[in-house]
Amino acid sequence: MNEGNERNDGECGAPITVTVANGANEQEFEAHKGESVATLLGRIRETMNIPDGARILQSGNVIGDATLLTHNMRIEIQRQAGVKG
Amino acid sequence: MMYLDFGSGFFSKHRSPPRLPPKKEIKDVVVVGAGGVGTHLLLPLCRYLDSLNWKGSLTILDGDTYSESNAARQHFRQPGSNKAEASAAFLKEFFPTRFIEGRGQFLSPDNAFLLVREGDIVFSCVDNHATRKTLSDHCGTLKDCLLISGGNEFSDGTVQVYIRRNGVDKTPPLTHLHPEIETPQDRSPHEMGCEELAREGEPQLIFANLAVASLMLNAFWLATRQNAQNAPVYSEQFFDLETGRVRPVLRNPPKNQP
Repeated sequence: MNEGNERNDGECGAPITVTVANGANEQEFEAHKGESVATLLGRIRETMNIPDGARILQSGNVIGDATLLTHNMRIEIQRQAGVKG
Repeated sequence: MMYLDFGSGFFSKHRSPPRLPPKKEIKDVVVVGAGGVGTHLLLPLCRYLDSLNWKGSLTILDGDTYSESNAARQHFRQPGSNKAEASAAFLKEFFPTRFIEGRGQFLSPDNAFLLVREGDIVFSCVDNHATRKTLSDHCGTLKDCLLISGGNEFSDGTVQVYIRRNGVDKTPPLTHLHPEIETPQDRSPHEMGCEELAREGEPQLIFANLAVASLMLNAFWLATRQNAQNAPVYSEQFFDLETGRVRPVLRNPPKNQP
């Protein structure tokens, strides 16, 4: 079994790990090289309570949901600020 | 040296152990909103400032009045009393030598420049994004300002820290990556009629208010402590009471600034 970054060199469809942060919560997910962000989010939308149309960030920059996943990628769902006080 | 002589009765003379003084003198503090979050933030804030022998002023702004429905989350004695004025009166009982003022008015684009001034530390405890945008935009016109904004949903929430030093953003304004604040869909209370203001809001959890207040005060401590750098270790913080998690995020300010 490949480990670490070696997994990134695998062929399309090779298993990879992606971290998704949403608000205070953060979780690692198994995905496949060549999958898009949209595909992964579609699978975990309910589990992570991700709202439709949410902005997706990588290193603080907005990325499109067509972006391809890479091993050890970390994406963040930008949550709206709490409104009540 | 008496100050460090813990063995000769220091704690019998003082209520709390000595703290490092803040990096820069804390001058004037403005708390905008004295509702669910503000009510939990004000007392520990004043106690902390009092322990620093603080000489500045504390201004509390809120045009709203207490109603019976607030009793589940907010401390008050007299329904119908103005939240800012009643909070100031309550705090003065504990800290009679400090300058604490309650103003029964809402912050708006028309009065922001009068109420929030150069060098102020501002706590935004409001319940709408329109006022958050007003505060963020106004602080962006100041040379030096620390704006700490909090807000919650039922069991989660956010704290944002906007720091300007020498006319430069050290952390992003509240509107950065937050279109809901940049283009608010709600209205500031000063734009609402009496009926709209009196309408019941969605239910809130007192512990969510308390968590926001606590994280805001923590950000304040980080941003003003003696060994603080130009910015705290985060510009935004998310919490979720359901999972017990808090996640800090440090973002860079947008690059299109001087």
